[in-house]
Amino acid sequence: MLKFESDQRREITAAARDESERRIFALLRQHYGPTHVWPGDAQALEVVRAATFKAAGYEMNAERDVFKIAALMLSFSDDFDAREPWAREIVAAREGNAPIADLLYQAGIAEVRRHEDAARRS
Amino acid sequence: MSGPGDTGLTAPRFTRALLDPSPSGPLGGFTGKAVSPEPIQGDPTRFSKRMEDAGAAADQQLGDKQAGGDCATCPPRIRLEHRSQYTAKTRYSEKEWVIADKFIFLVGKDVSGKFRTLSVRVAEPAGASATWEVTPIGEHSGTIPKRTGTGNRFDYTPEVTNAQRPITASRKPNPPVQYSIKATITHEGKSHEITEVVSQDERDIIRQEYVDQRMWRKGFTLHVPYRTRIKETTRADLRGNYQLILDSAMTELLTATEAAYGEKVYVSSGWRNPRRNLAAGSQVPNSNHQHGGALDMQPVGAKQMTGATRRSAYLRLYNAARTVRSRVVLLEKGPRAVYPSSAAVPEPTPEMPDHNEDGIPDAATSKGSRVESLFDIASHVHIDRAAPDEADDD
Repeated sequence: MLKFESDQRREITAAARDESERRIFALLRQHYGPTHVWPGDAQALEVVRAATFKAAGYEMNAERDVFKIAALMLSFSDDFDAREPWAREIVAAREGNAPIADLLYQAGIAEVRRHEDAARRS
Repeated sequence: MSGPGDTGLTAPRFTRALLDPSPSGPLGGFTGKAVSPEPIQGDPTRFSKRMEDAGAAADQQLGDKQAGGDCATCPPRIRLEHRSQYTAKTRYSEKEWVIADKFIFLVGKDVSGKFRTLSVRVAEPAGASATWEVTPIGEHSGTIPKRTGTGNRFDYTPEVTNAQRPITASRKPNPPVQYSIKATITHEGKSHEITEVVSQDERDIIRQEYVDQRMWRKGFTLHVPYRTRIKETTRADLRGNYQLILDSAMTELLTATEAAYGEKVYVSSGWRNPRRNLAAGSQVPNSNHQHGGALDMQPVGAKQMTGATRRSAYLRLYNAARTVRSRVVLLEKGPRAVYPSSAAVPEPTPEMPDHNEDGIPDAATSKGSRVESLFDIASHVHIDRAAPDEADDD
């Protein structure tokens, strides 16, 4: 049974959520803010919130995992995990509730790099 | 969105057109990808390299801290709300049902002779049912005959005895009545437990003293003071056992007296909560000090004054107080009046001269005592008003 004092619960549901979002958003803005994928602060914050939900759906609640999911949503699309073949493969091959945020993120980087290289050659 | 985290939230959906970094040239082999291999604002850093750096930074700076917010694996948001007959009064509370931090309550018998009932309910998840267990914290919080139950709402009725809640003399504040409330809620197949503590704030601790006195002190008829009569003050000399004071007329009497006196006065006794009133030696069950309607005042520096100087200062203060609208003004030594209530002090005349220039005729007497001697022994000037005509239990 999960046991929470009311203060702890409030912390999770309100202050912690804001704190957590703020941390993820700040780091995301630091790295992606100057890029073309940044949709503006307000919309990016919505992406962080949506990423929190998506990561939780995969039973991943670590902030770094949420950050990577949010970065992939920014860099590809909000449904990258269903749209992108490389992401679908990872999701399909997942065993149990193994965390896959980093696998997705590394695969996303590889995909970007592949296109960068292709663009250079052309 | 088709992933398991699909929530219907509107994250931006990127298009190639939106993110085209180089309107003057094509994106090569991109097929709907939202990233650009092109330099960004002259920065040759590849986007993939930025992603690598960002990922490393996330690992270092964010780590495994759990992300907040609603999520499938997080516990449900549980919110309890509380109710008493006082939260139901709009003058005290915007809402009848409030969170623990805003809960106001008293325990013990009300004017009907029944113990007050308190309530708690699950406000969120809406309509959820709980198994309840309420436990008094400290003997002074009494006992609860029926302290467990089930349902969305639980009513509990604490009972207190005089042995648990002493009403004897004390110069210390009473502790708050507190209850620990445990709710076990089953939601979507999982059981969740939440524990909240409800605690009286200082206003209710003070009010509770009056409930206690009404229950157990013979002859005590002062009503339970309104919360709005309990106020903050910067004057320590007005306080009883608490930081807050009950002030039915005290500040008004003091301000008016000081205005008439022409300078500040020292308050040797202002508001006395009932236990403080006993500690001060008062045997009057309904002393006006107890509702913040009385003051014992001294001239500032009176302890260093002697003779005609002292008498003169007390006379000025006594006369100043007599100009203020009040029930009575008394010249007292301790709890005993030494001069007739609110009576004027005769002024010097050629027939009754004042050779020592204290403002009191040298030969003036009251009930066989020289008036000067009564001012010599006075310890303070008392002024008061009657208790306000208010409901017995608000």
